[in-house]
Amino acid sequence: MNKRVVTSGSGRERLIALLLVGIVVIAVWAWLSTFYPGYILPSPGAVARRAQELFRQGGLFTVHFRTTLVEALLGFLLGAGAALPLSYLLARHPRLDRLVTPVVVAIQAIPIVALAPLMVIWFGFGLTSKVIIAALTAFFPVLTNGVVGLRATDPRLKEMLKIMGAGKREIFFKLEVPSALPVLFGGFRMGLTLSVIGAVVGEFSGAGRGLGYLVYFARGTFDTALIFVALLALAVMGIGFYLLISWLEAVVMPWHKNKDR
Amino acid sequence: MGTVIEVNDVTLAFTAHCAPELDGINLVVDEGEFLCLVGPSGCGKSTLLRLIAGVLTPDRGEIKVFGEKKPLNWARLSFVPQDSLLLPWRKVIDNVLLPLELNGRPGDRGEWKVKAQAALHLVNLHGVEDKYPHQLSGGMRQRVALARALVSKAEILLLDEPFAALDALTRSQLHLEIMGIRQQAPFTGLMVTHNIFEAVFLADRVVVMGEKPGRILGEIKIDLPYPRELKLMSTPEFAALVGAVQDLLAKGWCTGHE
Repeated sequence: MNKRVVTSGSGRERLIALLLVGIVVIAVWAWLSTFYPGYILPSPGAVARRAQELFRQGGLFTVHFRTTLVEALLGFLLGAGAALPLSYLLARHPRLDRLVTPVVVAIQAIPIVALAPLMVIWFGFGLTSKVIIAALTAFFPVLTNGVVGLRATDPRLKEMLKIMGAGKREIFFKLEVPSALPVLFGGFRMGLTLSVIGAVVGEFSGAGRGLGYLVYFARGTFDTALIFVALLALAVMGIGFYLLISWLEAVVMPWHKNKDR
Repeated sequence: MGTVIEVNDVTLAFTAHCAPELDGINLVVDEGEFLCLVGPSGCGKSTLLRLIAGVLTPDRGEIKVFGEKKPLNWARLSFVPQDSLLLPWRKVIDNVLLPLELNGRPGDRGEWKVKAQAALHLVNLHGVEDKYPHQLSGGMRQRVALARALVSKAEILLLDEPFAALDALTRSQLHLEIMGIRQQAPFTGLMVTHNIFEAVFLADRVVVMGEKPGRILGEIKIDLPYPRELKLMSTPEFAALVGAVQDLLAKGWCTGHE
């Protein structure tokens, strides 16, 4: 019980610290912006006005933010959904691992930025190409962490469960999966962050909407305030994803959260 | 009193060129007996326990438990490892009822919980059911592992240096508790340890092993009366028995170096 009190106290402290840092950053930014023209460094006020304008037109959240959000989330789900079963197979069958891993490494070595235009040519300017690009970026960290996590089972625990009468199925669900979860969640965290990058890169390569598209479009018109609006929106999305994963971690692995404190 | 565990001429080598891990082991454990295996680290005493538990098979010789060669399930033979080996994502109560869960049908959960609760009481743990293993001290974790072994009221308990990682005070406390449990819920015990005092204090019989190759050097019958209390350790009878075990161990060193 008293543990919870301590935690919420430190949480409040962290929030205050965060607010203070935010205020300082904005103040420094405002001060610096007085030395530069608006197309180099727009003032916080100008960025806020630009965001408000876009918001009033009904575009910022309902169109662009949502587009990138959907692309990243769908891409992550697709990528992770494909990576998880494969990681199970690779962890279970070392021979398959030796066969498949070089191919995986080779594909991974191609920068996603270079691959994105091809995807746009193949799958069009719409949602599909972005989802596939996001899925490709999210795929690899989930795969690698899945294999590492599933292999990290303590052999002594495995033997203990065997003595207790556990079969292969029970060892998988009651031991290997739970012991892989912490590493797996590390992969999810990385994969979700990367899928945002994938979506934005996809939008750079050809799109009509989305936060990446906004940046691309604003660069052409020297609308620097708009670039800042898009970047801030992306930061908000990133923080949102981070919090989402942290929350899921706490729900799925209550033992793990307690361990850190 | 019948024979419970029978080890006949068992040999096991992990690698071909080295001295065998175990060489021609013969051992009999009687029903209700508490037997301690003592020996230096690396003499294969833990390996012998794993053979009896059925997770290893001997190269030569045979092992019979209750007259049968195939390994027994937890309901008849349970195991207490050295460092508790609890599942970190399971609360204490769910760790203790795990063997029941693995061998039973779903839907009996309520019944398992009652049994797990009783096992926890047997090892003097109260009010920790809903804690996670990492929230407990080493001694408490080891008690949970003991409760897990007791939960299905197995007739045989194999203990692999269960108290080696504990401080001396906690260890003495658990020694007394083990003997208390033997009175309340009798079982046949086979414990591996390298602590001679612990072995003599707890056992009805101490079997001494030597290393390279792992073999049995001899045995000492411990004819000390029950209930045993800690002050027994300061009696001359106790000291004489410890001395006898030490002599046997020393014999292993001499022949081992020739």
